[in-house]
Amino acid sequence: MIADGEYAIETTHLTRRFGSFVAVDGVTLRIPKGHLYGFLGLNGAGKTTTIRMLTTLLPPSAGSAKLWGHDVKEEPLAVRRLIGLVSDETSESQSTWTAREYLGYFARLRELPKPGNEVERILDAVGLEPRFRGKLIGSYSTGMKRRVEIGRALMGGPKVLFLDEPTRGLDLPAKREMWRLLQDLAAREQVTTFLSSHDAQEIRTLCTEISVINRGRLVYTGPARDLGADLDSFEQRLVELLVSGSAFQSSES
Amino acid sequence: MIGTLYREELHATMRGQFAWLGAGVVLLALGGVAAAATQDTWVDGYGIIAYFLVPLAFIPLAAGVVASPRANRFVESLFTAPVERGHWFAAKILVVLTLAAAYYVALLPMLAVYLHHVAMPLLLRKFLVWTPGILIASVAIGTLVGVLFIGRSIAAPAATGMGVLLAYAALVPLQELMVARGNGATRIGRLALLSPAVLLKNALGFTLVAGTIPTATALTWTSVAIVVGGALVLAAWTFLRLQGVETWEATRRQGWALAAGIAALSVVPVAFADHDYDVAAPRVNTAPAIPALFARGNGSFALTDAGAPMPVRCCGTILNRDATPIATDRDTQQDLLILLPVDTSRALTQFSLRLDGQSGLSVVADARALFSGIPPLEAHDYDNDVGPVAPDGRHLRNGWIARVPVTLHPAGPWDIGGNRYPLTIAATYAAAGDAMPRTLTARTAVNAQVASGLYEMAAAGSLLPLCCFGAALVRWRRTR
Repeated sequence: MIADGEYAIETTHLTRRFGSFVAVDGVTLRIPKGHLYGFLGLNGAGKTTTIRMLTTLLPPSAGSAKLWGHDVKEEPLAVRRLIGLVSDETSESQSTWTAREYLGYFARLRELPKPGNEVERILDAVGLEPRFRGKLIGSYSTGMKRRVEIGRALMGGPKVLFLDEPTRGLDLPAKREMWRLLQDLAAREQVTTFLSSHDAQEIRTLCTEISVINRGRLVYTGPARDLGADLDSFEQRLVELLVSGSAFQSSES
Repeated sequence: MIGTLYREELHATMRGQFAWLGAGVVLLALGGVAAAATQDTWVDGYGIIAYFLVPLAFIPLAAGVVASPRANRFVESLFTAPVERGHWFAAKILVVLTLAAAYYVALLPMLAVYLHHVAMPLLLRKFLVWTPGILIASVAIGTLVGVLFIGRSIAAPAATGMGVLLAYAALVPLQELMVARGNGATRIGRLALLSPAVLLKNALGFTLVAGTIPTATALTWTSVAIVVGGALVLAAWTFLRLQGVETWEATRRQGWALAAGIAALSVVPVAFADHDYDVAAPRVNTAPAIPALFARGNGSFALTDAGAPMPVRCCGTILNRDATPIATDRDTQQDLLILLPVDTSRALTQFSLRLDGQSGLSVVADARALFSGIPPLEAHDYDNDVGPVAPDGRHLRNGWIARVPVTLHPAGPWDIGGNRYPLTIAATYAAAGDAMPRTLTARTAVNAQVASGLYEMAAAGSLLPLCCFGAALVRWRRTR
C-alpha cells in the first residue's frame, strides 16, 4: 500500500472536452515515484491530451491532477519546476539554434548556476557528441534532435519526465539506442518517467507498469506482464482490449 | 524573470535563419533609397518610405514574432519550464519594441548626413516624432493580430498583418487627397482616421501635401491612446485569460467581448477623432514656390556647361532640368543661353541682362561677355514651329541665341537634393530696324544639390548593413 504523498502523478476523473468531443474521459491514475510508467494507446486515443493536461499545457475540463502533490491547475509554476516534457515535434521548433544555445536558453530561464557547465553535463548525459553541439539543430539527424530534446527536458533535474512518442520517426538502431538511453537515465537520474507511445514493443520493453487508453478512457492499468508473457501474446491481448473497448482488471490492481 | 526572458528572447530573435541577413538587406535597401533620394527631394522621397512605410511593417513583424512560438510548438518547451506566461508575453513585446528602437537608431547615420548639410525642416522634425508613434502603434496592433491566431503556421497572422499594413498605409494618401479637396470631414474622409498613421499625423499637426490640418487635437490624441492602449490590453487579456498555451479557452461571452473590443478599436477614431480641417497647414520646409515649375517648351532661357550646345529638349522653367544639378555652396560656371526672337537676317543692336537670384542663389554674369554691349551670338536653325515667337506672331526658323557665361552660387539649401532656386531673368534687346527695345522676362529655377551628398549618404547607408552582413557571416561560420 502506498501513501498519498508517495505518488508522483495522481489524477482523479481527469477529463478534457473540445466542444462536444470528449478527448479524455474521467482518467484516474496513481503512479508511484521513481517508476518508468507506460501509457499505451492508438493514435488519437487521448495520450497526448492527457500529457498536455499533466504538464500544464492544457487546462482540464473536469477532474483534477496532481504532480508530487501540486495541483496542475492551481499551482502550474510549482508543477513546471518538477517536470520535463519531450514531445515528438518540438525538436523541430528551433532548428536555427545550436544545441548549446537551445539548452543554454532553458538553463538560464531555470536560473541554474553555471549554465554553460550544466549544458555540457546534460549533453554528455544524453550522448550528443561535442563536435555537433555548436552546429545548428536543423542539421542533426532525428535521433540527435531527440537527444537534445531529452537534454532540454532533463534541465534543472526534473522529478517527472514526460515522454510523448519519443522514438517516433527513428529507425530501429536509433530506437534501440534511445531505449538504452531512457533506461540508463531512469536509473541514473532517479526520475519518474511517464512514457506515452502507441508502440507495444517499446512499452513492453521499457515499462513494468502500464495503462492503456482507448477513445479517452482507461481500459487497462497494471503490470505489463499481466497482458502477456511475451510480446506476441501482449500485442494479441492489447488488440482485443482496444477493439472491444471494455476495461480489463489486472490481478494486481 | 522578465529581464532574463527579455535577454534570451532578444538573442533568440537574432538566431533566426535570415535574421541578420534580412536586417542587412532591409537596411541596405533603405540606405540605397536614402542615397538615391539625394538626387531629388530627400525628405519627401526617402523620408516617407523610411519614416512612415517601413515602421508600419512592424505590424506583420510583431504578428509573426508573437505567433511563431505557437506555430513551431516552441511554447511546449517554454511553458513546461517554470515560466509565467504573462512574463514571457511582456518580454516578447519588449523585444519587438527593442527591434523597433533599433530600426529608429539605424536611420540616424543618414539623418546625421542630412542635418550636416541642411537645417532641420519642419517635415523632418515631425517625422522624428511620427515614426516612434507609428512604431509603437504597429507593435501594439501587430501583437494583437499575432495573439489572435493559434495555428501551425505564421502565414495567417503575417498575411493579416500585411493586410492591416496596406490598409493603414493607403489611408494616408486617401486622407491627404480628401482634405486637399475639402472632403476631410465627409464619411469617406473620416474613414481615413482608422489608420493610426493618419491620427498621429493630425495630432502632430502636419500634412504631406494637403493645405489644412484639424483645428483641435485633443480627441485625436485620445483616439491614439485608445487604439494603442486598447490593442495592447486586448492582446494581453486574450493571451492570458481567453487562451491556453495553444488553445482557445474563451466562453461565448468572452468571445463576444473580444469581438466588441476589436470593433471599438476601429470605430472610436472614426467616430470621435477631430476632423475639422480648418487650420492652414504649416509649411513643411523653406522651399520657395515657383509657378509652372515643371513646364516645358515655353521658355526662352537655358543653362548649359560652358561652351556646350543648346539642350535638345529646350526650354522649361527649370533651366538645367536635363543636366546634372549644380552644387550648392560653391561657384559653378555655366552658360546662360537666351533664345532671342530675332531672325539671323537682322543684326542685334542693343542687349542688356538683369539676373535676380532668390532664396540664397547669387548669379553674376561675366562682365567681359557683356563689355561690348552685345554678348556672343550663335545662329540657330529651329524645326518647324518650335522657334521663338517673333513680334509678328510667327515662329522663327533661324534665330540668334545669346550665350552669356554666368557664375552661380546657391547657398543655404533646404534639402540635400532637388533644391530649385528661383531666378528671375530679364533680357532687353533691340534688333536693326526696331523702334524700341523689347524685354524677355521669366521667373525660372536652377536645380541644385549638395554635391557630396550622394557619396556621404551611400557611406552612411551602408554602415549598419555591413555590420549586419558581418554578423550573419560570423554566425554562419560558427554554426555550419
